[in-house]
Amino acid sequence: MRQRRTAAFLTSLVAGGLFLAACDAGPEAAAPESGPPDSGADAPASTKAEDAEGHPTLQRPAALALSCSGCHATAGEAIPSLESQTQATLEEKLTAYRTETDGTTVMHRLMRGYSEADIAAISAYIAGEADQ
Amino acid sequence: MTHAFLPHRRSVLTGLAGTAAMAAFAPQAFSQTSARLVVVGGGFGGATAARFLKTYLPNASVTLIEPNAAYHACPFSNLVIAGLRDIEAQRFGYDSLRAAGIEVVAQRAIDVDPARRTVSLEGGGEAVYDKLVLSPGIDIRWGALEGYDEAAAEVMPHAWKAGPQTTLLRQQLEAMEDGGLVVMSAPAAPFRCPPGPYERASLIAHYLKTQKPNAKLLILDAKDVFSKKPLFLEAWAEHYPEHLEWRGAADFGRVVSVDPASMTLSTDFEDIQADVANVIPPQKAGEIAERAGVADETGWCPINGLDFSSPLQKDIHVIGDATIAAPMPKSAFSANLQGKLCAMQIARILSGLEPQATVLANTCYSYVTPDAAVSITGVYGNEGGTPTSKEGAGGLSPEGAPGDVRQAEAAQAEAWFQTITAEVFGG
Repeated sequence: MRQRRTAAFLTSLVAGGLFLAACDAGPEAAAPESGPPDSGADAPASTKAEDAEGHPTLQRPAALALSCSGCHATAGEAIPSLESQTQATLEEKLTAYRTETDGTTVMHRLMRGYSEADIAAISAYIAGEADQ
Repeated sequence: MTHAFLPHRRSVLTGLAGTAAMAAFAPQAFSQTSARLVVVGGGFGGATAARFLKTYLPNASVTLIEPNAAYHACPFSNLVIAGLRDIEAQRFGYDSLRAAGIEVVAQRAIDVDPARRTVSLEGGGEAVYDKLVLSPGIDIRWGALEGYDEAAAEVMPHAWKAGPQTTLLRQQLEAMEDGGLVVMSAPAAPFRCPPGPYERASLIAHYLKTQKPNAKLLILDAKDVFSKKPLFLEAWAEHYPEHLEWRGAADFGRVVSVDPASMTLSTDFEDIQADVANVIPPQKAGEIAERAGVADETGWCPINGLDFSSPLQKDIHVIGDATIAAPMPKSAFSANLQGKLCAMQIARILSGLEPQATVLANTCYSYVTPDAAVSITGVYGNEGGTPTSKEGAGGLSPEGAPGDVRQAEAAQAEAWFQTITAEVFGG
């Protein structure tokens, strides 16, 4: 168990680094090639605020996902782990909780409070964080 | 013991590199701020806030001020009172927070000077802050219930802060003879853990039913409506018809005074002598809140629900049971989530961003027997700074549900406790 986690941890470190590098390079790399007018709209200036705004951990999807981690551990049985689940799987499951009217679990009652957009954002964020 | 089941998250958290990949929800370090961030109170709210501040802002200095060497968790402490769990399983230290680079100061914070931005410590020193997070939990309003002072609590324990009080109530129940009368006094809202008295009553009733079948528990309540009431009434009728009686305010259940010398609890209607008395008294925000000037005339702390900043003092945030965050309850789940969100919003503020609205959740499980639990959930928006329940969401476990639903929630309760304590205190 510990070994598996350590491996996952290292993988996510490497992938996280690549992810950040890609984000940093993204706008500048794309601009000269395609040069569509809208690509510059959110191109970061070098202000502190906009650097942070570009960082996923302080954005709404991350804020929404803060409610999940107190219950969902990396290893779970009674409460399932969210690790290694794809965005599509998560979105499908959370949407099912939201729409099933006869559900008895806490997740059924909780998901009725989230919009489709929020569910999509949470799913993408968790899958992105967990899979890298 | 609990720790055997916990994920080995400490190894992931140790050091700055580790913070970049904390489990599935890793906030990643980005800011270069070297701000001085001070957190007072090492419970579910404060320990979480300290950990997440350090994770979001690894270059900031994060100090946690907490006089106790270890924290005793209140959730699951009712199992200890009923003899179903060891108090040691409730105990959590701060080594994992230290390993994460947080300075843990084992002293009591005795005052806050918002103008100088300092917290003074019992030992004579002071901590200077750029942002202060207060997570002081609750304190008892001694004397608000006539006769109930600190000395009375040694005879009629409240056990509403886990630790020696929990053990004391357990010992009294064990020492009581079969045929004895246990009396619980439940307070008016607001108080820590709204369903807590009724989970405790359920588990004490279970203990009496199985170990002291001629004894009985009487709940004297200052109110007529309480959290998860239909579910508790259902469970009590099914499991404890001979061992538990609840008397609400309409039936003169409100206790108006106590006398520890004669073990008497008095209502407007009668005086009742108890063999064991568990007095859950009126409460207020932890004392430091008042010293810091963040509590209002109610004794609790108003907050801006976006970032849990105090509207009364600049650069101070308040989280957890001390806050007026209703409809979010005074629960460990809420304190933990508020700690995370508050840390994220402080990271945004220090990065030149505005706090951002989000959606918050709460889930609280309560045992009704050792293998059956019920739950309450809530979902809240915080646009405009006031937590507001999402219509159509949240609510209770279904009434009349089959046993497997209750058993599943008992298993989920245990999984929740293991996960949240690992997230807050480390594995």
